[in-house]
Amino acid sequence: MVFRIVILVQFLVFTSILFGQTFSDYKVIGNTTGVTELTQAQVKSYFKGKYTLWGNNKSVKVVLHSSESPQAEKVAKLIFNTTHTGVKKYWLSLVFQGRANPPVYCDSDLEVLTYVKKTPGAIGIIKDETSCPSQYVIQIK
Amino acid sequence: MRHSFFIIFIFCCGYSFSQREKVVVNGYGHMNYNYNNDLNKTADPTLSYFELGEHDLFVNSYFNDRISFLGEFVVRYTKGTPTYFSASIERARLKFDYYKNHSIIAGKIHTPINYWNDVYHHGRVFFPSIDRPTAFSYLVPLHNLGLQFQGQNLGKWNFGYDVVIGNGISATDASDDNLSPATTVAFHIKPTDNWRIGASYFYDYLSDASVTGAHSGHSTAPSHIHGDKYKGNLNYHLISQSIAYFGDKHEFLNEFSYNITHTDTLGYANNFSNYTYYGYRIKEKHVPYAIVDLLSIAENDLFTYHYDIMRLWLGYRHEFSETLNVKAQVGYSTNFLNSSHSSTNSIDFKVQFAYGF
Repeated sequence: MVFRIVILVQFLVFTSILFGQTFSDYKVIGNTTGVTELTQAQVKSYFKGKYTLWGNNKSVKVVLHSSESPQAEKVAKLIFNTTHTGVKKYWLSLVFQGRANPPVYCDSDLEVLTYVKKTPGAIGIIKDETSCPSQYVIQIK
Repeated sequence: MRHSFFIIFIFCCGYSFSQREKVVVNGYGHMNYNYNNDLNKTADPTLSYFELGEHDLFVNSYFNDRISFLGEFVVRYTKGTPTYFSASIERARLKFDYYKNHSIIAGKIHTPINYWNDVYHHGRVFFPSIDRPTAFSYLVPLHNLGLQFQGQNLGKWNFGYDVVIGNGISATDASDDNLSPATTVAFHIKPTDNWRIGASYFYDYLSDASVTGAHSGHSTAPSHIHGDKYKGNLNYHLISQSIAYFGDKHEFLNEFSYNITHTDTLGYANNFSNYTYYGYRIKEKHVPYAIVDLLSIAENDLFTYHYDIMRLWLGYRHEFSETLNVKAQVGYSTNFLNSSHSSTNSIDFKVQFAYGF
């Protein structure tokens, strides 16, 4: 009986690691943001449109994954603790209120990376295994 | 009307030739079915009709890192016009982000009086229910044209403030009838992402209380539509308080307003409104909800005029997606009209499709 409970607990831990996304599975990337590291809470705040300007007075440009991206739901859960539909609803409402500029939606990690590289002030998130020049990576403390 | 379509056409052309991310254009609209049964009428008590609602073109653009533009242009049914539709500019504002989360905004805005007017504007797809609170038809100055100082997401409690100085309730979008500007001071906190608690104070001086300007949102009580309106000066104070919670399961909104009008003729009049909404989300897309909507205008009020109304609603909202939903409401309302000292009671059934693109 105890052996079965141990096996069950190990299975549950394994599946939560397999299916539960953490920041260690992702890279936060930015361009000309003036920051080299952020806390998890700060990262979430930037993606939620809570900051208008970076410390270097560049406008914050949020880059999100579109529904075409395989990362859309996982990033939505990780950053916003909701579904991708919930993320779109949240941002639509924020933009409609006039309290933030619209985010940009990209269809893949490669598109996110391409957009961030050409856009000063942009912040995005891609899978950790996606290759990216180190100058764009923002460390999570 | 042709002038308005020309403006919309120019914006669409600008969008098609601009970089995708610099100009963003969205559209919103809705259509309703309404059923009303007047319980006090014995002959022809029932009305039943479809309604084409407001259609809203929403434009968002930024010129550089600090300066952006937001415009909202609406076409709606308007009795008395040649085509029965008219266009209006509901919002047109320039925003300058001058320091961190602080901005200066110039132009036509939704007065940040309360949560509903600050968050929902003209896109019904965002409304948790079919209609705005009753107070919006009688007490709340919907728009203001002037200068706004705004701060948001400041500190641990995400404190936000809005200070607005602009044209008054009796003004148009091109002129005002007195030197005294309307002033709004509002603040809110967001202890968590789902909560917003705020309060505001609005003041305006009207040199002629019989004049209600364009887009003030203000109406007089039904019993005074054909009566002589008071034409003297009037001081208009409005204190509002909002509590909003929209979480994964529970949705709650309470909007309270206390309006004081003062005239030399009849002194101070105290008016109240309170709107309470509660919804419960089931399996992500289904939200049954209930509403209690109250308005009470004092007998000596010389701006809105004496009127009491209570509306109770039960509703259901189905969200197909973030840009398409359908809502159905059944409700009971009772009105007291001063002129006749009579009350009317009715039962209503409404259905609304609201969409955005």
